Amino acid sequence: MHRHGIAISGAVLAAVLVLSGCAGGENLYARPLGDFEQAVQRTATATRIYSALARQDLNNAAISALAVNPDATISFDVTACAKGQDAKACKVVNSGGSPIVSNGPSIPPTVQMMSRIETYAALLADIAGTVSEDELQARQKTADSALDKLQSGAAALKAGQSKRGLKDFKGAAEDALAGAYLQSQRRKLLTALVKDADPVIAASSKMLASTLGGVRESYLETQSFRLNLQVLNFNNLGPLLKAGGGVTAPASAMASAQVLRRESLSRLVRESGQLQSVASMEIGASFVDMAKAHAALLQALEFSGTDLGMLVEAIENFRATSAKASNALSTLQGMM
Amino acid sequence: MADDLDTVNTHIERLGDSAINLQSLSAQAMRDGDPAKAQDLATQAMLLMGKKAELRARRRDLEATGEQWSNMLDKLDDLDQKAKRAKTHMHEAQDTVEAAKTVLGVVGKILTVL
Repeated sequence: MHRHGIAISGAVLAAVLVLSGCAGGENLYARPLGDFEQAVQRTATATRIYSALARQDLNNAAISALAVNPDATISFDVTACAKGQDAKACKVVNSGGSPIVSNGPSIPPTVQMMSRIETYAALLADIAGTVSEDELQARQKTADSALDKLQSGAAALKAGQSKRGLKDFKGAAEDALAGAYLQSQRRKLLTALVKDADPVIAASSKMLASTLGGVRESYLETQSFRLNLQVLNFNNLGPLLKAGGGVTAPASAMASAQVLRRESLSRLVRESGQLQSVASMEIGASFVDMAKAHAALLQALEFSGTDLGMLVEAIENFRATSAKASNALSTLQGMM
Repeated sequence: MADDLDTVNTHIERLGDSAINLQSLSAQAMRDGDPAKAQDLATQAMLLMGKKAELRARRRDLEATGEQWSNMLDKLDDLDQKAKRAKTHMHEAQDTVEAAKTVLGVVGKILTVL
């Protein structure tokens, strides 16, 4: 009976370790995967912002060129627009009918590329299935429930009780083995996928960083020169406000100058704020971070597949469910 | 394509240099107490920068329609397909486990009966 008890105790301990390892806390690669997902989200947002900036950059250039050209005239079909029959009629165009700002591609190539990386990151999370906190909590509950079953099954066996106890024990052991099998499959699939993906993510990150870095550079240049001109305009309008101060300006010119300066200043403050935001955001670094996060994920996956990695993972995960597991073990020790 | 890119690159560089030179002259005019000239030169510099931005956009479009970019999009498409297949395999593995559990359960029952 004593030998029987030791055998059960050993089996239960092994099952608890396996169970806590596969169904409890995080995997070694869960955090790097979360980091990569977050980096992808950050770069995807930045990509969309920069695509909008690229559009704005060209619009500003076209409008500036038109504004300083004394021969340029624009037109607007007031009657057609007022009738509301054709939305296109409500667009202000060049006098020849051509658009003032040209339309770019509906989805810029950078956004297309980033969208594919987003899809990949989302699928990785699907395969890993352990990224969200909700999912981790759900798995924790499953682990807790399995430990309960294991505990009651062992107790029933110890007391030589019903078949139900045996069933519970078998169920828990099967869950543990199934979990270990699935975990092994998941690790294999993820490692192969992430290994294949790593050079692609690294290269596409470089391309995106270079292209969007160019957008940033261009935006900073054109906007700086535009703002500089607006600053000069603002300052040059100053003398018009000085009645009798060197420049003789009629009252109407003074009023106009005041209005122009006020509008110009409020626009300057707004646009310089936007310019500062772009200047302080280094888009290239975001993509370097994304590629690094992916490389770290690959390292974690490869490490988790080694004997040492599996041991570390089992220890880490065991620690994650330590409270429950140690309670179960104490109870079992008491029973054996 | 490469020739186009080279030409565009050369123009971009020249436009940038010219804009910077005009801006320097504008700053000099301001220091010399000629704000009207300074403003005029700054306007010319801004317009050149606008042209430069247009050429930069054209360069981006040329690159995005080039071989390197389309190869990378293809590779990313392949990656997404691989990831979808891996997800399917994972679901299949889960199904296999469920099926195995059922079989084990049945075998257990038979053994119990025997």
